[in-house]
Amino acid sequence: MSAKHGSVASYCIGFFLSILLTVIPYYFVVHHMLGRSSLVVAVVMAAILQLWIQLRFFLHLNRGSLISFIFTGIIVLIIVGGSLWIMHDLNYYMMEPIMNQAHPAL
Amino acid sequence: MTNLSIHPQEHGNHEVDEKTSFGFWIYIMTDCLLFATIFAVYAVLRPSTFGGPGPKELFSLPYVFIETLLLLTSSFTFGLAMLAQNKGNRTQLLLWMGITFLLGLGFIGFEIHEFVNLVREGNGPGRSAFLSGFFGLVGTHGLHVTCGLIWMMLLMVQISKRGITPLIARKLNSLSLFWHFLDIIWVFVFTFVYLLGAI
Repeated sequence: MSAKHGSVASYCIGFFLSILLTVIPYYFVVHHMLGRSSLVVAVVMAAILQLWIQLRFFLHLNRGSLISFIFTGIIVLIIVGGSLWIMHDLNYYMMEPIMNQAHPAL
Repeated sequence: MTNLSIHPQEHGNHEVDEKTSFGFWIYIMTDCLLFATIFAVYAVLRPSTFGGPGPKELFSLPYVFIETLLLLTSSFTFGLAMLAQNKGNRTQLLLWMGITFLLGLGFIGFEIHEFVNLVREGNGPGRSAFLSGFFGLVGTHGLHVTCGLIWMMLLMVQISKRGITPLIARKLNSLSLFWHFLDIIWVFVFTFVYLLGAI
């Protein structure tokens, strides 16, 4: 939880890895490497790895803060995942009849 | 432990340090929930461009890439500032904090410049639901960074006047948690708004 656990070496490693995990997905996106869906997966994986790097090398979580962090993570997944799920379903159910009316042939 | 009861102020009271740190961490977790809801709003509104430009047309990746590097580096230099504080080296602490401050200021400058350009081209928050979500999300992060910068500036004044006291060390520890947290939030903004927006 405090910098007491850090050293110059650990901060340098963390910094190097965080830069690396920013440059790689950026390079992949700019040069359109990989297919669309695998590119999305790669970029999201890099962000999750980056989160771990930052927690491990910069934030130095102890037990209590780690538990509260995991709890928050679960709530975040429920909020974001749930919102997207509900709104996607709403779009699906609300938009279909309108589109069908506008294009009866479809 | 016996030392604590005899000289509570002189030796950095470890228990208070831990409690302050944990309490501030809980605040950061609630802030995390705030960002989660704004991220959810952005994700829901992203397809609703109202016939206007989408993320692919609006955002310049190289520009945001430099912005990201500025913030990542500032997180690193703040870590070095914390190490200087542990050694009790006031000059080094102020130097690293000053560098962190300038990097953070550069980040905010980049962001304001981006916002001004968008508004000038007629793509302000009122243009579409997508842009409202974008300005809401990135603006909230920018507001946090601005608050962090003001906090950092005030702490630098206190440090240069009073030196590194246990109270200031505690404040610095909270600010370092806040600053690293903002860095993590930005990593997600960079990934989900800019990188995935460009795909």
